[in-house]
Amino acid sequence: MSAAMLALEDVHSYYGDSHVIQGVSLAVERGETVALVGRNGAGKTTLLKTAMAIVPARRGRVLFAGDDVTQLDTHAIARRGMTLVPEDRRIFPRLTVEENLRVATLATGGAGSLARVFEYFPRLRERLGQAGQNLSGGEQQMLALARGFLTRPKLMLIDELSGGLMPLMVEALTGVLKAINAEGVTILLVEQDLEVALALAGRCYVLDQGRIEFAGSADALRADAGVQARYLGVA
Amino acid sequence: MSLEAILTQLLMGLTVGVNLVLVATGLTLVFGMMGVINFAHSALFMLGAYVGLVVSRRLGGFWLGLALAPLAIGLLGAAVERWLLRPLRVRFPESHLLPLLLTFGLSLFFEGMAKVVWGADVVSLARPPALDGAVTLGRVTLPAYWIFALVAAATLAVLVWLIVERTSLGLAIRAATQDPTMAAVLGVDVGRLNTLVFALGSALAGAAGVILGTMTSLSPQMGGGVVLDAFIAIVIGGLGSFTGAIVGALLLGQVQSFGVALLPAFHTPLVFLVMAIVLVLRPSGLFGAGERR
Repeated sequence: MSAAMLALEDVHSYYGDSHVIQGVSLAVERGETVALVGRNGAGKTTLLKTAMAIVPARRGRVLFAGDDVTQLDTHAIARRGMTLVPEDRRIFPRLTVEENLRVATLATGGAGSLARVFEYFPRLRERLGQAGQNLSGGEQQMLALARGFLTRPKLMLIDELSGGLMPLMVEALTGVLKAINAEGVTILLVEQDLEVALALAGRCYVLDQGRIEFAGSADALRADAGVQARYLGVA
Repeated sequence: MSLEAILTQLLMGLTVGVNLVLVATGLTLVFGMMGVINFAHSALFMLGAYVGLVVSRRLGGFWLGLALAPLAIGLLGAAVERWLLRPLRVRFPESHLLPLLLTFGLSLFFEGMAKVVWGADVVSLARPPALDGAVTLGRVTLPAYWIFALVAAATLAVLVWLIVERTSLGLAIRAATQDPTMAAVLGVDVGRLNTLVFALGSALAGAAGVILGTMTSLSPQMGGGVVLDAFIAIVIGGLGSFTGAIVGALLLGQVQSFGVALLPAFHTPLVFLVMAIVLVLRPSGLFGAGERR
């Protein structure tokens, strides 16, 4: 059996003095889409940042495609094929759309994927010369996903696909993520909107106060009203 | 003022301005990328002038000095970033004070060492004979070394502009300036980039030291005034903005040149007056706060 694409083993991490991630173990297999859900402040964003060493893991191990990457720098992990599409999109505000895309190809040689990016997001082609800060929220999310895709990732960590976007836009982006996943890119998705998470993911983890409280198939989570009520605030 | 006098002052101002661009570029790029105001910049400028002096006296003339000084100061800058500044910033990521104290301490150290090695006396960098004559441009006649200082600094400034705005390296620098974490997430080695930018800024300061060394005299404290002007230029232009540093430096060059000619007693306060007016009208500088181009 080949190693999981991403495996966290008893990972602990901190924001300043506060113990945010308190011993999380999880695995994302190759080709899967896995959702990580939980309330605000459960530690979902911190967990993704810990996987990419933006927030260091103080205990435990992060394994990427079987290799221990716990001690590597963020850029070194990125070059191995992991990328993060962050919650607030983090578009370079004073670079053009084209420059934002090019940054993603500098270290990873992903320029060849540009044609595919424009198939997924034709609107970006019309905005190439615009400054990142002048894009709408939906366009920023497209650009953030496109940038991530251009690093030629094996694994994309996506923090809040749907945040602040119109339902139609979310539907379109959901379709693109399914296509990207079908190309063989493994996806770990943090998502506030349970319906979006369940539509994309085969398996789910529920995170609460820095610990995994549920792990199982999307169908099992959909059926488990108790877990939804306790950890997701769904009545 | 006659037309000739105005043209002369304009050219003088431009010469001062493009040299300030060289000094200001390093300050603003380092501040933009690392959030560090590099107080050692004046010492790097001074060391550049002295390396130029030593090379031109001992090794093989002024032109070799002009070529080697930026190289030497660039390497020194890389070493400072890699082995002093980076460990400090890794260990105390939240502190703005410690990097500032480090660079301030380094400037005192370098100036002290310069006094020990070369003495506190004022010395002059002998100009090559080619720069001793005068050049007549239309109706204006200027010393050849002024034209040299103008052309040499302008060439370097254009080169740096091309690097920052037109190359992949420059794109990585601009991205890391705006959001270092996101640049790293996309695979950019921001640590290596920091070293490179610090080295580049130091090399430019060293080059400016040699170029301006031909116009003034050398002393261990020679960097203070120039770097203060460069700092005012980047405050006018907008801290951390590359375009702002260029515009601010060129503007300041003209203010100084015409200030000296028209209001000799007031040219120093005039510089600060211009800065104050710009800051009242645009508190974050001409190109600060999200307005880069």
